[in-house]
Amino acid sequence: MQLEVNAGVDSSRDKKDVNGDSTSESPSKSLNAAKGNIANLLTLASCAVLAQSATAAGSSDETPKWKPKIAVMHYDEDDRVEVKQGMFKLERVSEDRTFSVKIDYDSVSGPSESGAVPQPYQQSFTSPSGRNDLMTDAGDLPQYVVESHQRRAISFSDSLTLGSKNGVSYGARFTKEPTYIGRGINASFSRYTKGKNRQYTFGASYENANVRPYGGVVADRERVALRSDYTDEESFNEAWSALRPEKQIGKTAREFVAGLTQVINKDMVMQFNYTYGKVRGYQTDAQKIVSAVDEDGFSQYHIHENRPNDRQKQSIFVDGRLATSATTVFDVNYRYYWDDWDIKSHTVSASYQIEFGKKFKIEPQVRWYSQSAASFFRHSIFTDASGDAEIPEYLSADYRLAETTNVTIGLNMDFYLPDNKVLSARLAHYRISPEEDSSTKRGYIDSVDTLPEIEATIFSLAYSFN
Amino acid sequence: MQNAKHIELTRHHDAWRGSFDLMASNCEIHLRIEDESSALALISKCWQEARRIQDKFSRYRDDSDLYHVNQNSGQTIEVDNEFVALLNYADTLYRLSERLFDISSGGLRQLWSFGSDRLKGQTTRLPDQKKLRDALKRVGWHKVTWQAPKLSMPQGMELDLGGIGKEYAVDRVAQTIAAEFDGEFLVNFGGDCFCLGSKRAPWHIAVESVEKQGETSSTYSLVSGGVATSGTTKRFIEIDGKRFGHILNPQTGLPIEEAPLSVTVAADSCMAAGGISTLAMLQGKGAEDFLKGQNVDFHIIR
Repeated sequence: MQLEVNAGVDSSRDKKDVNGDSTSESPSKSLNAAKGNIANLLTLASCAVLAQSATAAGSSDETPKWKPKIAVMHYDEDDRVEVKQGMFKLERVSEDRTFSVKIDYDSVSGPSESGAVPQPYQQSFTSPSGRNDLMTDAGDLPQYVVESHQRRAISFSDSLTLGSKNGVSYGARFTKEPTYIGRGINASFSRYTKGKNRQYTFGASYENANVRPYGGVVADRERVALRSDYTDEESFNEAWSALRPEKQIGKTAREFVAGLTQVINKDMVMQFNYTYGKVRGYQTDAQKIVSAVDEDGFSQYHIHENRPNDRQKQSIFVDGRLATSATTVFDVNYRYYWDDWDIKSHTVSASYQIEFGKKFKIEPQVRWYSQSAASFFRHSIFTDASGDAEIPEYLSADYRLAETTNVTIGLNMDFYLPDNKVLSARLAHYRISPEEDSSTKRGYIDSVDTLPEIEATIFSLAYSFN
Repeated sequence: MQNAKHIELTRHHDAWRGSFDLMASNCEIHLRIEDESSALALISKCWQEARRIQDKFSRYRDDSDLYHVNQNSGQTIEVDNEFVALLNYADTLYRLSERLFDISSGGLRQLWSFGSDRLKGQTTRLPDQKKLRDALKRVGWHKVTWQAPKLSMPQGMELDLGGIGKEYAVDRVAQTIAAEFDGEFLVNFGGDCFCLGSKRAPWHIAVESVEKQGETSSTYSLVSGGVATSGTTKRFIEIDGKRFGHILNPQTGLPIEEAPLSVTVAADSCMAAGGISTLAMLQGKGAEDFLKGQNVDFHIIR
């Protein structure tokens, strides 16, 4: 009934036609002749009143209440990284203002691939701290292990409506983890057009961060120091430290969003967004390395990866939500992303919400994501007969920069409990299927899978208090 | 259960019935539910919501939003979203009724002493012509500058949401129930109703007799939707044996001629039913013709 709500608002502005010629003929005659079915018009107008006040009255308590929400999430990649996440949020909603404070905590642990290639024999690599070595069995992908990487973030957000047409929101976020300290601010402005059928949104955000990799900021494109190459611990430590003269380095990110939300009809809403982002500063992963392999695919040495200091990202996003009945909503959206690292991606996501009475809602969801590789992604670099290799300016063997197709299948469930409390659960399965680039593999490594499929399970629970 | 003292809870056939007095009406909530404490908890919420609306839109309470609006005639003031919605609805009714439904016409009523049964049968005189003219100067929604949410009315004008407030409260209370309760229910505020039932067990609603107050002249059954009655059965005066109803023509200040005694209409919401029945009433002798063109169920007593 939203459209009719607005028709009512608009029509109040052109009252002139009423004030003009009022006919002297029998009112009932003119009413019936000119106005058609008044009963329908009044039914719509009353729906408008009841729809609008449902929010107004619900939030018109003199003292807005703080509503807490807690959530926990568990992400588990088979034999790899495990993430445990907790969130606590306090939100205060009043008629024209929503203020919230949120605290996030997460802990990452488990092994990740370093980017070095498997070999037909046991390999040994230095741990991120430099203190000990990790052995990789023959044929296995070299990995490094993070014991427990903890991240804490605190943020606030404040949204205000200004008059009946405009809204502003702003917020700030502070993140701290052993390898990263980020300070971000964001603001957005939105404006409804007449009738509230269309909303424009413009937003901007800025983050300034200090990146502090485990062990230090490593010299890019330099050879990785291995204990086995040194005669004693002291000389190894010296070489290892020499590669890491700095403890931290800066990074900034800016993002601008322009959006349009359009009500198509009473059952359908479309949204369009364009996002432009620019990241400057250290974007290399200090733990990732690239192997230099000879003709037979045997690694001679490894090189610390290097990524450009600049990254310019753009994306367009289209979303359509269609109420297919009083209790079902179909949502489908598409995103096209491209950046100047040559990554282009398509994301298609669809979900179908089904509400059962006022007790329970389920939402099956599928998401398909496909990306092309970054221009500097490679499995390895090739050495020549003398053992030297041409090292490109930028290089990385991180599977996240490879061509990949990822599919998520999930189910969200909301249980509506008495007193407006909501219990939400989400279970999802995530599959990452990266594609290898045979042009940067040769010899032995041509015969092994350096980018195996990764399967992950996501489970989360959230509870909203009244 | 802090409000339970206002509510009288009784078991009535297959439903719990809570009754309380608000908005100068006897209000009843029927819930087809077994558990008494759940019934009382939900009916208490209904009472709270009805009380909130009564207090917010009361013309008499000096802390009500409406009182504040009326005290500030001659100035521009801003009203909240809920008030905006109701004023827009009143504006729609004003336009659809060709200026006959007018929330600024409350001042006219003071010239007429429409009573309830206390004045019934009592002979009164027509209002003084000069007083009527003066009062008419302060009446007329078209004199109001309404640019939601900003309202500016001429000095001395007073708004009265009595014509839509109770129906609005019925629908809001029905929303309050539906938000928490899946079953069948009936909200009845002095004859203005909203219900949700089933064909198997429709709700039976009584229409009060015109001749004998408190007695039922007829009942009708309703599965779901809103019902409202506009009428003069309760409030009228007699002058020289002629009965004048309490529905006034805001353009003349006089009661609508040949208005039915009561018009009962069923529609999707109580507000819509109330609006249609009031518009029918304002048609005077054309009430039946008007309603026949509206494709609604109605009942007229003349």
